[in-house]
Amino acid sequence: MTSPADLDSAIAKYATASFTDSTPLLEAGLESLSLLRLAIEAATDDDAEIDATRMAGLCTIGDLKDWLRSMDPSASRLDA
Amino acid sequence: MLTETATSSTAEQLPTRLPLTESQRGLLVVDGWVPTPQIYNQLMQVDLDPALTTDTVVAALAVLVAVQPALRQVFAPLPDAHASLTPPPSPQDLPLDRVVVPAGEFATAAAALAEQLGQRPFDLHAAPAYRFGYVRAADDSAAAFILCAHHIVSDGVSMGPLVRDLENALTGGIPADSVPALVAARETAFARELRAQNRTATSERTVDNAKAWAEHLRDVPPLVLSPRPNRPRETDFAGARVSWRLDERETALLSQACKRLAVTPFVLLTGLYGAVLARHGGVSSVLVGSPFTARRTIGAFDLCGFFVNTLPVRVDVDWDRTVDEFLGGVVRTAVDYAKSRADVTFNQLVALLRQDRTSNRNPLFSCMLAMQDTFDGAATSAVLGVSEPGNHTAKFDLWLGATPERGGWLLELEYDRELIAPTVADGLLGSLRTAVRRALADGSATVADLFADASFTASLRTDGHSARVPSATLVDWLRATAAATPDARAIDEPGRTLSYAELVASAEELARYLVGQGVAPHDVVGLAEDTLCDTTIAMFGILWCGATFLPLDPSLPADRLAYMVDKADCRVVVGDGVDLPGVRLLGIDKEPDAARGAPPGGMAESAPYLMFTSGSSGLPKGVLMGHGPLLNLTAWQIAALGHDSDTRFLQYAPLGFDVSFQEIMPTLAAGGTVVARGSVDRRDFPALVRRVADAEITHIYLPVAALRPFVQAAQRIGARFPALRHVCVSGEQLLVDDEVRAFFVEHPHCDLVNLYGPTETHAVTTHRLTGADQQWPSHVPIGLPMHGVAGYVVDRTGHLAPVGVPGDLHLGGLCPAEGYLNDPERTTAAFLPDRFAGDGRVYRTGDLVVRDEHGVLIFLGRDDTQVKIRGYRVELGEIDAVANTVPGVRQAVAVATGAAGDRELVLFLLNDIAVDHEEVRARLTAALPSYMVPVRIFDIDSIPTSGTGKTDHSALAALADRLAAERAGAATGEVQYRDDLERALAELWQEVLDVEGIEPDRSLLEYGAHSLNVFAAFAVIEEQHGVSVPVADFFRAPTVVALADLVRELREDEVVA
Repeated sequence: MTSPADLDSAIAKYATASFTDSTPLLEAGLESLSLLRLAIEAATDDDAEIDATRMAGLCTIGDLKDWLRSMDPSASRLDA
Repeated sequence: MLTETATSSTAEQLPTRLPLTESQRGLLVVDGWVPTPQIYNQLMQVDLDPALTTDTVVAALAVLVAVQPALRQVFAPLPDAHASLTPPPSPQDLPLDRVVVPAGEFATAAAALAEQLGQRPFDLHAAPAYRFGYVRAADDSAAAFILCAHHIVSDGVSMGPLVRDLENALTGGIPADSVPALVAARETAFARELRAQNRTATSERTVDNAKAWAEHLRDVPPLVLSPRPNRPRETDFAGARVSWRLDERETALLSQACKRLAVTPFVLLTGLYGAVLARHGGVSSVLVGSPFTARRTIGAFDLCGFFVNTLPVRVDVDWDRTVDEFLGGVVRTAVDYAKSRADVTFNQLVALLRQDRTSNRNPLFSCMLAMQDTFDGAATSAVLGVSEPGNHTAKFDLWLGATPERGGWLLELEYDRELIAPTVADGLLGSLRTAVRRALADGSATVADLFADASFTASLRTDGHSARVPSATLVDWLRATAAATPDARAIDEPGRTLSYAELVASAEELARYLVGQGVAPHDVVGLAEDTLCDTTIAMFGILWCGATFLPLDPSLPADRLAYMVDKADCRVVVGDGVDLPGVRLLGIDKEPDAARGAPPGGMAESAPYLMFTSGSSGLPKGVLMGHGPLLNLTAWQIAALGHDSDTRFLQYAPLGFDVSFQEIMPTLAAGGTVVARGSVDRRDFPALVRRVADAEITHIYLPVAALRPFVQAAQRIGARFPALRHVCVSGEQLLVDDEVRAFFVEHPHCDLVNLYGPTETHAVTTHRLTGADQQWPSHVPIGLPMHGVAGYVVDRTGHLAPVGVPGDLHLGGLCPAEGYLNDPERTTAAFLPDRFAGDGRVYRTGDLVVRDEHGVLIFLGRDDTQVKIRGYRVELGEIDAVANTVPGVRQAVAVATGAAGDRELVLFLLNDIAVDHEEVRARLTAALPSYMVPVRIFDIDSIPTSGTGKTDHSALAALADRLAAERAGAATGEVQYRDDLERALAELWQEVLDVEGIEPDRSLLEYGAHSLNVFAAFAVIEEQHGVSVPVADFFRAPTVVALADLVRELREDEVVA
């Protein structure tokens, strides 16, 4: 699986507007399908699991990053 | 290249039995018993680069099946439902239909091939649940393949992985030597995903979430679109679609609205669709089902499979809230609630809510919203396009598909044609279109204002009978008739008759006397005479004074009579038999020498009568009825019921019941004769039948509850009624059956007239049936309004309801009474300005009705008496109608008892002869879904009725509770079974359901049995008794007794075989 260089650039691939950590997801143009695709990209292997139920609680880009990191701790190194 | 997938996974030892997801488990059960399992076939047409050779395509399809293990599943039900994977097929072994057609026929051939593939059901236990079609233009200008797969192996998300794999297989992205590794990796990923799903579904968190969610859903009313009596409970799933495409401007507005409200298009469409469903279902809370992805492992996003949980979003609609508050607050929160619990499975909710699963309708919710994926062709070269042809089925009552397309959204409504008529579907689409447009235009509007009035002219349609009013007052009309036919007989009662001249003279004389005693115009004068002659004289004598008569029945409790005269400020009563403080009794012959006055004659501005009707507060309300409505009613009835000098109308109704006016006044206005009941008791039907026959009655007007006993008495006596022309009924919902119809077949000159109307308006609508009508609806419509009456069906949004939408019936035009006497507050609440016509008033009945596609009004009940049993709305009259067909049953009445969660049905039978309850139960079981079969049946000596002859359901419900308690108290504590088989089956169920003391003849569904645990129980039955019980047969009578009978029959069949 191809990994993004970092979370920001991965998110930028799906966002339709510029963003910071406090930007609401919808304002950045990110919908649930985009979030899932991001999660798949951020994951390091096929054994990783996505807890999609947490997606409902994601409001901002910062929340999204936390979720992606929690799903796969190794992803945090991508955010350096 | 799929190198990362092919190389990153380590092959694991696959179990021979793969677990199923909960969604698969449910679908496997349903597939086993629906008569048309092909409804779960899903079609996908993939347009291909025609330069690809057929061999290349077929080889790619073989690779596709190899690397997508879901397609290779074969299912087995026992001992635990599971799947096994068949080996990857060789290209030659693919189930593939090939068609080569001239280029001009390509599209048609592709559609035909898709239809052909989709119509054949799969045997899920015998072979993989997919098949292919391949269509090619003979000149190589076009090519496509069609995948038909059962829903149990794929979902909406599966399109992406399937198309990606196919593109790779067609373009060399999956080299032949990498296929085995990719197959192993995908099988491993598939098994992991199944394990992850099962682990999640049974986790403590998910179970807790399911319980909380079930509580959150418990009070949501059933959603019934296009409600009507005898609405099919099962269908063949024949579907049709209507659609609407948002243009670019509307799509831009939708995006802006989503941005402004910080919601997704899914939230916005869920909210607006939910509001449309709430309007059309006549409720304020609805469940909108939607598929939520349940894929957990990253690897599963490369897999085809049935990995969704279809779950309900609860949409609570407050019609006065602004659109922005509704969508951005209520609906967004509701969607988040569902999303954050998407691990919960549909089966868990259904089981917790004890929803009925015995019919082929989807439990829990009947309407779906699906956000459809679209194919992005930018990244593919071999795959040119993907579409999902419909297969002319509808798995839900209504399904909304929302597909984002280039430049707009496509909104498609797919509806079940047996449940929803095309005109009703058009209305649904109309509501959706208006709601979307208005929501996008103005977020500050209220949710109610998202909708518009349906046709105003439909409200004004009448039964076609004219109403010519020749006089300004009822008295004038009577006098004119009397002048024309002074010697004709006006009143005929045993021992006494009155000619028209005598009637008029006596009435005038009484009026002179009453005026002499101080009675003035607009006074309310009580009327309590014994005989029909005196009653009629008194009625017109009071009207002659310009006063209002108030019927007082001496049999009523003294307190109630006192309340009535006090409320009406009534100080004078004509007649006898009542003794009320402050009230003078006057009689025609009591004071021959008393002073006389000069009565004014009838006064048009004076109300003819005041009648009290029961009020919700427990105190009766006095309805003051004016001249205008009564003159119109009289004129209409003369035309509609053919009154003339030959009319002989039996006076049956109590005087305090407004029907009495219809018996007396139109008959006299037309020069006919009102015939007294005499000494015949109203409930002595044999005597009544003889009276009607002997007196050559032409018209009779009965309470609905009296119709069957009347018809049955006539049949027993062998009476014939050559003079009878019209049998009118009213008072409650009319249910008819073959026995009632037979009476009218034997009396082809006589019709049955169902009238409807509250006291506040008098009778206002009618529906007729004759013996010549081939089809009699068991639940007779209330029909069409009479001349001068407007029948407005006002839906939950406050607008005129479209066809098929239930609403409160508001009655306008000439019919509303003046109001409740001396009660301005209640009058203002019930009598409203007619905002539809622009002037006049309407009476708000509180009766729930629906206008069908023919414009006919159908009574659905009082808004507050809907019965909900195991998730379904139940019409009690339908149960009565079936039970009434059992020989020996004179009258059957079903009632609902118990609190909301434990509601159960009880049936009372009034019988002519001893009736076997098992026979009744068998008849009900054969005709009705199991949730409509009463749990208990009791015989009864008489059906309690209210003062106006209506069945007293409250009294029966109280009696049911008492009898059930007595029966429970009388039980010995140990349940009795007929034999060891019944005992063994009961013990099995007790173990499966974790309950004790299962009664042999009580529905197992009441104890918690449902389709999934039935599956488990039947596996044990097969193991222990060697027979496989058909699930559908069991659900027809889900009791231990019936199950034991089934097992015995199956055993015997096996011995014979």
